[in-house]
Amino acid sequence: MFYSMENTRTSVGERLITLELRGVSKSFGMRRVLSDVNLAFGEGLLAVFGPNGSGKTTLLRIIAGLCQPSFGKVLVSEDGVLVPDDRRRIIIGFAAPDISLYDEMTIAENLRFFALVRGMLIGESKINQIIERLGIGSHTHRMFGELSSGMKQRAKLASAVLHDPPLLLLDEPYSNMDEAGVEVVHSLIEEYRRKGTVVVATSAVAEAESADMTLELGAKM
Amino acid sequence: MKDVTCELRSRRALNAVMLFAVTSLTAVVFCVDRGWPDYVAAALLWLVIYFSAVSGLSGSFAHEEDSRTADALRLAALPEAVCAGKVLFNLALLLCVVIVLALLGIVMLGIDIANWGRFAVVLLAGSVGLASSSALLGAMVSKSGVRTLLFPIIAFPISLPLLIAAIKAVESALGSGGVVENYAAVRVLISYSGILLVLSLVFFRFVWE
Amino acid sequence: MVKIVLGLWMVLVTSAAFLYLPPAEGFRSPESARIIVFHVPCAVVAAVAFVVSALFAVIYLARRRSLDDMRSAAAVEIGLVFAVLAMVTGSIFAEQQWGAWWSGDPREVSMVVLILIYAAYMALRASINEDRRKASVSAVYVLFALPAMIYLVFILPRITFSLHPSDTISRGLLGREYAVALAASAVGFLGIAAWMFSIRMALSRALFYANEGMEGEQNER
Repeated sequence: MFYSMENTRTSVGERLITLELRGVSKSFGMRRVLSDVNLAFGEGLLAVFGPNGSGKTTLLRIIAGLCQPSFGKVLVSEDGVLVPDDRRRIIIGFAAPDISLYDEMTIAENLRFFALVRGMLIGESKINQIIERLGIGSHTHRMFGELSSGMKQRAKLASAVLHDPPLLLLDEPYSNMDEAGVEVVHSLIEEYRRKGTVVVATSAVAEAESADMTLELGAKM
Repeated sequence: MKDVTCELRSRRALNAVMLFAVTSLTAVVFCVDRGWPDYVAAALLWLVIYFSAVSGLSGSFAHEEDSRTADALRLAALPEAVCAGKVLFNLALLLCVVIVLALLGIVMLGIDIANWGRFAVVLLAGSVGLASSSALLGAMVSKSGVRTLLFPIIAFPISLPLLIAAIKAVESALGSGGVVENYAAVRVLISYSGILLVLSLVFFRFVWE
Repeated sequence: MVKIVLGLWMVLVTSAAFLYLPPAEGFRSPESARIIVFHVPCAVVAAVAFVVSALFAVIYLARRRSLDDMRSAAAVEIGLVFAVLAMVTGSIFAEQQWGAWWSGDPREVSMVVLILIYAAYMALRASINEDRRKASVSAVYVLFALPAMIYLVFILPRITFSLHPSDTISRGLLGREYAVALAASAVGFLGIAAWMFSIRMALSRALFYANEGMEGEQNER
């Protein structure tokens, strides 16, 4: 149970992740945000869309394990075996507007930190590669807090894919992105949907068109 | 691990805590003469340490929540690792305060230390206990709106045995303590701090989510 | 039915305290020392309540059923009542015996601390809205408070000075009638505590079902 460098791989490799939600509901006090969500999904791209306030972020957080459903079960399985809580951090990558990296560290430091904390040995070259890929190479030495929101978004994406997660969760990945950024995100999604499972939450229907499966959440105010 | 990065970042927390510790001690010094009985000095020392801890150490998790980095940690790290990191950070912070206070106490108040080894051990053990419990209790209240108010309330009952034992133990290291009786105090302090440390690590994951 | 038995029992105990028992030898004010027949059992119940709460806290953390958390919380509430009673009766006794309402005696202090723990527990519970987190945090707090109490009650008095007349009682100077009365009173108070507990739990359960409906029970993993 204690921290150890047991997972000294550079990436998680190809694993089949299946995601299953049974009767998932979530209420915050009196406010019901999710109601009886049922879902079974494997490889590919799952798009969750709906208007603001429909619970997309909450759903993603529940899948990631940041939040517990009020009712129902969430089953994340890896090669048919249920994933224990401690392993989730290794197979899941999550980028969201309301999750931030550390302001007082540079992007590179942030990435190194999160890799270290996950117990994975990720070499400098890999880190640089990711940074380049996401187009933030020119900003690596600046503190995260100083970056523009678009750059921050790219950096967050970098931290989400650094460990090659078979399950990638993206909450509004296109927000704050300029054209070039949109391209980058798109290519990332394409790559990961082929390798594993990607769940994207978005308000724009257009982005959901190419998905393998879509889940629409109604607005429940 | 985690603590290295924490320390890099939190110079502001350090400043706040130090400021508090130094000002309170200075205020006390100006009002009182020398020649205090040992037990008063011991009590005073630990009280100032305790209040510094309460004000300075409780904010660590609050800061993470507020700047939205807490979830990133939850996603990436083992709970025990986060706890260990925070405890170590708290400890480092606390030890700085303790050293400064001890020095000030000796210099300004003429406190006389008979048994240096014991003194050091007691300060260390007490700090470990405070660091651990502050980490866990800080995590407990981090999400609530009234956390600054709530933290001292929940911290006090847990810290009380620690403080009592620590005061007694320090007393025995100063000037003229009764040796036999207060071996017990030191042992009690060490055991209690140890328990706090272990419990913090074990139960952290339940509080962290 | 049970209530009637309990009621009669307590009447019996109370009257015995005043009529049947001889004045307690060895105390300064023998007549009013009879109050220990009430004081000690109250303290005992308060301590038992704490242990019960800790027990349910552990069970909750192991099995994650809201019911256990409710039991833990109910035990705390009832423990609070009895702790206050113990303090009050203790003060009355102290005033008679030693002429002061309050002294720094460790046993007294530990009762105050117990009350503080209970109060802090309730404040903690009140400050968290999310059910699961509320339960987890409460449970952990009780378990943290357990060693604190153990140390305060058993270990610390050894290294500091104590006023409590434990010798008088343990050496049997009070005589057998007192032993009987104390035991009977303890049983009576425990009975009352258990009864209060069941009422409190009935209330909690009713609230729980009102909020969650029967699904709530089924969804307990």
